[in-house]
Amino acid sequence: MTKVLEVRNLRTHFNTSKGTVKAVNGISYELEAGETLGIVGESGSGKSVGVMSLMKLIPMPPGEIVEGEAWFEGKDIFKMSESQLEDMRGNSMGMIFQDPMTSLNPIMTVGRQIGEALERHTKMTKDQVKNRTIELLELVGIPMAADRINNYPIQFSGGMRQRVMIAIGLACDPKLLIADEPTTALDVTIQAQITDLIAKLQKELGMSVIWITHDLGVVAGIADRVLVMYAGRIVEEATVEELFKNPRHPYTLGLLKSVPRVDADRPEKLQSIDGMPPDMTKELVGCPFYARCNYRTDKCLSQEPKLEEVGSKHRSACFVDVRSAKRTTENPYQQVTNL
Amino acid sequence: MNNSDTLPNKSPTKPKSNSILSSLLQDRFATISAVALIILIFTALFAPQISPYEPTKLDLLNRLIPPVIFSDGNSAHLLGTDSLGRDMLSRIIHGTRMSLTIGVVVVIMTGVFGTAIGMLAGYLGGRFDQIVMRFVDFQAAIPYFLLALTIMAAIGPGARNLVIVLTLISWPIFARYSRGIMLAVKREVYIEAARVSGTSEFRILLKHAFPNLASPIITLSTLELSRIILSEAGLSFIGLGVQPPDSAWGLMVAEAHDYVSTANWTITLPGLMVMITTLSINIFATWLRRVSDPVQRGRM
Amino acid sequence: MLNMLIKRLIHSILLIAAVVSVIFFTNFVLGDPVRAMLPAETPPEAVEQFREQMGFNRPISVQYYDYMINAFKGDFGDSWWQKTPALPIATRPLPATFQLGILAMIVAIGLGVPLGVLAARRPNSFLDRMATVTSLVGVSMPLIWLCPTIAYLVAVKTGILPTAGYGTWQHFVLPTLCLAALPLGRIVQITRAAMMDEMVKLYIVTARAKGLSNRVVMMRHALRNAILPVITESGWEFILVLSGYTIIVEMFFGWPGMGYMLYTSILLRDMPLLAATAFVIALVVVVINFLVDILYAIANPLIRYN
Repeated sequence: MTKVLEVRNLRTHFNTSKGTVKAVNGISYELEAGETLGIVGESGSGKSVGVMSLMKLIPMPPGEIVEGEAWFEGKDIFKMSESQLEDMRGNSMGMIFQDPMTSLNPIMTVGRQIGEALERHTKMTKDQVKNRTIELLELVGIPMAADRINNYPIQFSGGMRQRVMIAIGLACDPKLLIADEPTTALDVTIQAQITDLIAKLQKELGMSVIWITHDLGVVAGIADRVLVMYAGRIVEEATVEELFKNPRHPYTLGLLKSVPRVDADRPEKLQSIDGMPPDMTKELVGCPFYARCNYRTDKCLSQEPKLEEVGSKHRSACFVDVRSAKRTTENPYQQVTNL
Repeated sequence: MNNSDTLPNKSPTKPKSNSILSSLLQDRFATISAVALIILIFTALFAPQISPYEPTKLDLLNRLIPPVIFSDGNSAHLLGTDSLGRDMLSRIIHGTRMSLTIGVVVVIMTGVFGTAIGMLAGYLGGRFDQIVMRFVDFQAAIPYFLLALTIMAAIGPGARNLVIVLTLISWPIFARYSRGIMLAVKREVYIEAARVSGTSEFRILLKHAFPNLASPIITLSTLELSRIILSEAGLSFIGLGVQPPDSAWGLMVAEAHDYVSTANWTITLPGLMVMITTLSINIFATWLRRVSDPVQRGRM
Repeated sequence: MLNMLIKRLIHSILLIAAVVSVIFFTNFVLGDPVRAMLPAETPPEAVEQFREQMGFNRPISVQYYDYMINAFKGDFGDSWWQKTPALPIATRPLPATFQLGILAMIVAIGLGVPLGVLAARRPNSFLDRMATVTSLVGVSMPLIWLCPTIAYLVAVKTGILPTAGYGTWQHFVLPTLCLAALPLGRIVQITRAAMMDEMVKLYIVTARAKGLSNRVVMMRHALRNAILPVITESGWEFILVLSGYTIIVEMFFGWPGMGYMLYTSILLRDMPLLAATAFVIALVVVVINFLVDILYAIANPLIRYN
């Protein structure tokens, strides 16, 4: 299997007047052709910034890719010129965003917005563009596509708008589709439709997908492999079965425990992870998860754990083996605030 | 605030000085404008004391003396004299008092009255709101200057009439603004909470709803002040505002109309004063808006 | 759509009626039209006789009704100055003002929008700060200072352009520049703010993710949306130009337009002429508002779907 994407040690910072926000702190991963990679994390974990950096879509100032390399289809992305990047965007690498309310131009027809991508990257004639647009709308499941290409986003429902978004992302047959929380702003039933749609399209078109979400349920449904991110770092990486069966990082454990389960024996109290992510403008010493970790040790305070193999295709960044270790503290976050 | 999510081994946070004064001083333009405004206010307050001559004192022997920086100026009249021999500096100082007084009085009256009406309209809704909106719509649709002009032409000029007319046509601006804010605030949960806990409507209005208005209304007031001063200058220029023998910048410009090429300072200096005043107010208002609205902070 | 147009029409008529009412109220109720018409030394009996003859002693509501009917027929009485019907006199200077006003707006928009876009493109750059300063100065500019200063510096000192009058293209230059100053300032402000509003929206990222160049994204996406508030504001600025700024500018440059007419009627205390002129200007305002609305509806397709 060929590697579609390879990322090495990516670091992205934002230089603001309140300090430098280290949004992404050295992440490395690979993606095979045809694979779906899920990236899970809370807000501020760097999951979005990480992939937006790949397309250099972050505002630069104040953003800055301070370190890192990324190869897409063998080509070094960060050495590309702006026009080469523009050739790549929307073409071999497509991206779709959350909140279709605001991620579509409100006063441009849906057909035009899709057609724009086609006009930019192909030499199709106007008629060909029109036909392909209708084709794409049908592909993403919008009924009466031919009638609707001259409609405006406001004339579609939320789920339909997201489908339009997907059509834009897929317009030029990308090798890699990046989906940044595409279902977060939609309700659950529509969510299922969209995830099914993307899975189906992926099989049909043979593309790779990176799916960013904070929702483990979504990940369980569509991903082959998962990256768990925290504080701009990858803290665990595994296949989806392995992650759910055998989580090794305390943060992953916390995430899994906080998902309500239908098959619980008796009503359990939902366990959340106390506290907040760390301030990303500060220099962090030790493990970034220390303040909220139930398994912490003194070593965790002074040294930052690196990602290490803990199983087949399974890496975790933690000094502690949570399978055997006892919880060393309860209410870790409150203890920190008392200091 | 940061201690809760930092580890004890991290470097302590240095508190940034965020007082209003320091953010004012960081912005050079805003500081200059603030200083200018202070000087203007001071001049207006102490006009009789600091003015070297009586502004109405005629001295026909000493007509049209240029300002002291010119070769034929003299130090008895730092800014020269006008066509009737009146000292320019004194007239300008008293003009400052006139314009600022009119401006501030109108802004205070419209501000208080307009904000109160708007607040009630937004909060109470219903018939009252509809009536108020009629006034607001009317005011917004008719060009301000034209309306002031037509009314002043009919009822007669003069500073007193000017203040009344400007107040009557400007209050809807405040009403609309405060009404808008009230409509948004009305739906806030804490209002509902206060109501449920038994607080009287009046107290709710005063203690919970009103504080939302304070900062935006202050910003609006500064903008309105510059507009009023510009309007007054324009109306006085046309002859429908402040009347002679009072001193007003617009009036001075009108009286000097014939001397554009021969005694340019008589027409330029008063006009310049209007410019400096409105510019300072606008710069200050811009800074004020930026400081009170976090969204705007990234803007300018 | 038609509904909206009819509502608009009614609204406009009511507005003009309101303006005429204000004119009536301030002249006939707050002021005494008889005393205004007659010389000061007229003996009281003659004044009363005149009052009766002209019908000024009728109940106010009757006078009001008559006045309004006449106004809508275009009859404001005879100008006290020229002794002929006021309205035709009032409309005569309209073309001169329109020429100046439209030219000024072309300058203001033609310079203002590009400047605003360029400023928004690179926030806090030199260009941006220049634009901010220019616009701030523009909106604070008193015409009573700008006009004489420009006239002096350019016309008097260099002599290449005339200081006053109407006739050749040279006469247009200075008045146009002065008249354009305030709208220019405002339009730069509005364009810049509107662009900055749009540039941080999510659809801009989507557009860039399609591989479109920065220029295309700015023009085809951001500006296209940002232009909407610019249209409304420009319309309003045009109205301010025609109903306020032009008075001062025309006075300084001896431009035979509506502003000059208004000023003359004030100077001569010619109430019918003043009323007629104000009426014409109000009418123009209403028409412009209407046209701006149509323009806006064309530019913003969403209007039709709400």
